[in-house]
Amino acid sequence: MSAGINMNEYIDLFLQEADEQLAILEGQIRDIGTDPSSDRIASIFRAAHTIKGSSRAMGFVNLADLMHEFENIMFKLRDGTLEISDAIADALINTVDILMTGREHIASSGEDMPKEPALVTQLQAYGNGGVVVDQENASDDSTGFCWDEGITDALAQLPDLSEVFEVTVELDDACAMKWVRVFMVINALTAMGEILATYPSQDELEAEQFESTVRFLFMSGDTSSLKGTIANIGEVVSVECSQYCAEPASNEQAEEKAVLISPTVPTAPVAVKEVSSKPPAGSPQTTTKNTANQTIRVNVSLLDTLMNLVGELVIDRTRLSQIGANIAAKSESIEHIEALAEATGHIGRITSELQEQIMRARMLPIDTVFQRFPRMIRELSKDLDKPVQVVIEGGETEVDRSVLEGISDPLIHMIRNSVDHGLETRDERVNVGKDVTGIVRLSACHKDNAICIEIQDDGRGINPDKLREKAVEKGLMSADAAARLTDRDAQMLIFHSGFSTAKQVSDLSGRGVGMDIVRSNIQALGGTIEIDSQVGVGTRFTLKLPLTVAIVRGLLARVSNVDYVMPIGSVIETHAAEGIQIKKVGKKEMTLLRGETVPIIRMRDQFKTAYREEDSLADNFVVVVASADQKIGLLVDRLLGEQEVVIKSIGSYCGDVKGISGATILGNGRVALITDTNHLVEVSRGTHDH
Amino acid sequence: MIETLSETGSEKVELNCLRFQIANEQYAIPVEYVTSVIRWSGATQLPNSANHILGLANLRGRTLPVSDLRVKLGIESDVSVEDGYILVCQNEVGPVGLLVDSVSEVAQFELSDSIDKAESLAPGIREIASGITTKGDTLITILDYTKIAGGAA
Repeated sequence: MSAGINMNEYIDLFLQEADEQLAILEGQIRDIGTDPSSDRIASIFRAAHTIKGSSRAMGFVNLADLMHEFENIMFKLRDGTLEISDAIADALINTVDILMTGREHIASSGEDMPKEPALVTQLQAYGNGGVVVDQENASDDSTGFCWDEGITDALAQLPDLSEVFEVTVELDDACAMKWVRVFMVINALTAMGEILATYPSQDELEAEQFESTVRFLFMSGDTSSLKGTIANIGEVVSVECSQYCAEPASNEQAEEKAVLISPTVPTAPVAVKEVSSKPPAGSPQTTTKNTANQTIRVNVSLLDTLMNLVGELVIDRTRLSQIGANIAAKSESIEHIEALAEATGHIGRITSELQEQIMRARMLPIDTVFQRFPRMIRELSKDLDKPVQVVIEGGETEVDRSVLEGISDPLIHMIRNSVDHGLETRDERVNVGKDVTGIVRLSACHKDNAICIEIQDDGRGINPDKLREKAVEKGLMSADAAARLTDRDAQMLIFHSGFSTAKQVSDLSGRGVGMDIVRSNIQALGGTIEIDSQVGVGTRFTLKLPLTVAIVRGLLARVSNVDYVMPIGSVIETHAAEGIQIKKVGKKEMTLLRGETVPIIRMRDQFKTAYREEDSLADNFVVVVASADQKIGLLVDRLLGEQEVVIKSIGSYCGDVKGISGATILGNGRVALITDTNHLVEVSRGTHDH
Repeated sequence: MIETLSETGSEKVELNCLRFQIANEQYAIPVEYVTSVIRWSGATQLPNSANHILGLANLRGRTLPVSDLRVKLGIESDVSVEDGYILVCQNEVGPVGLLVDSVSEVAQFELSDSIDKAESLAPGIREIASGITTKGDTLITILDYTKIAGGAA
């Protein structure tokens, strides 16, 4: 490619789009064998077509060639000229796998993927009804003539194709100066309308590097006199003019054309003269023919900036209404106060609406992450020889992309775990009378302003006794302490760092990442993880994640003159401290709430600062918070209300401040600290800081 | 000292620096890192943080970690935190506020690499200094911001 520098710019765009299309391919291809519905085939076809187009634009010939054969099969499946078979389905799935590797290659090297001659030949064979044919013949047979992708894609963007025509002009074989004749044809056409493209390219025409047929893509409002005018040019044997058809030429059309023009014409680059809506040269931009869904590409950083700006606006809105309230208390001009209140109220509503819309703009269906799991599970199931049925529910649940990015890796790990460790082997399942095929269920839904993701298997379950044993063996706790753990607490031990009960670290779920990393990733997103497992029946992991990581609703409490925001998702209830009896058990403090023992943490001891509130004013309220089903009571000095806050970073300069996950600025300008409930719960358990 | 250097042929570097004072001693920091100078207007204390961290201040809607540079350098000063000035600094690590006694000028300083010869410097300061220079009779220690706040030089 001559425009080497430009291509680098486009490669990101190309990859971005390729990823979207590959995700569709991955999601759809797995069931092609069992459910070759026309919708599925159509969406695979579209995705393949798009990748082919953009890889051509990028000059990735090997990729484009592979996509071409793939698309060809999909085309014939759609057409009904080819029946799906297991062999074909496997070849298609295999191709998608190769494409994923190819994508990585392109991403890392910026160059075309390696040639896949064997696969291409295999696909060609299937595309031709199972007969292996010579490559050149195959491509001739299957494609016939078609315009370059760049042109067809550009044309597809035009709102109206009724004025676009394909003009085929055939010159006398004996024509001496073919270029002169073509030039006259071009002149005649230009007088009647606009030539969008020629085949062969204008350069080739000028060099007279063509047989006798010239094609034009021509745009004109009136073509009634076209045939006559062109036919009058000397040495023109025939003129055909037909409406341009956007759909890829079907076999019949290709055959028709073969009669019409010299059948030896191979597909080749075409000179594009000018198409009004043509994308920039080399750009992998393509068209979605489905115009009903009007979307544009927006850089994520722009959305992030918008989100931040709205965050500032949210702060100012709160501030404004506070100032308004202050003025109202002092002023006597009721009229002005009412006007101010009305204006601030309106700004408040607009800001909320704006915030909601921008948040929605950042949302993506969780399917973008879920989609790759079936393939992953299929591979695992093959490698481990465990038949697995995958059930996915709620893939359309929308999640903020910041959350989406963060949950991908933990989910991959948990699913690997479920298949690798959760599900029994074939024999074990038969022995306990279970169906040989294990079930892994992935589901997502919105639940009270949070996203709830469940990963469930019908495997052997987590045996709490084994974990107790392991904990003692690893010296994490005494046998006594282990015995005292409830079954649930024992099961929670799998989240402890350096805790793997798998007898052998398999390379599948190994990778050096443990469930502790999974949990800390989830917690970093402000989420929680719970286990519900029964030996012999199965295990269910429930993840609860905030809708977004940018804004949080929280309960505002003051401790030693510092304001803390406790994320409302983790707050259960609040009590006046006087109504609560706090008992000392060993070094720890506890209280009994409706029969449940709740550890108490004095915030001013936990969060030490230079200033300390007078004892008489301290510890007036108990805020009960929970993380992973574990409740703790936090003693605070004052409760200040509930508020939505924009999460801001503490900055790395201060280091890792234990128990604080972020900061925010309140309406009054004060900086408040956002508490990390998970950390506090860990502190109460004494499981922290070993 | 600077004369000695030029005789030995060492290269002199001119640095545009902001000069400030801590306990009557003169310091300077490259002005490229300093975005503004503000007065102390309070900060929320960060629990369980290092003792030189004064807390998080609200800098026009952004949170600014503020560090008492005097504590960080181990210099005792009579000037109270409330009367100090905050140098708002920024590099790729993020914004950091550094509290100092007072601020005097922005000027070109000639940076020499004779830091090892500056015997008067306490070891703690020597570690984060990038050079030393004189102006008239006064000795000015030029600090390396990246050694204070982290980040690439």
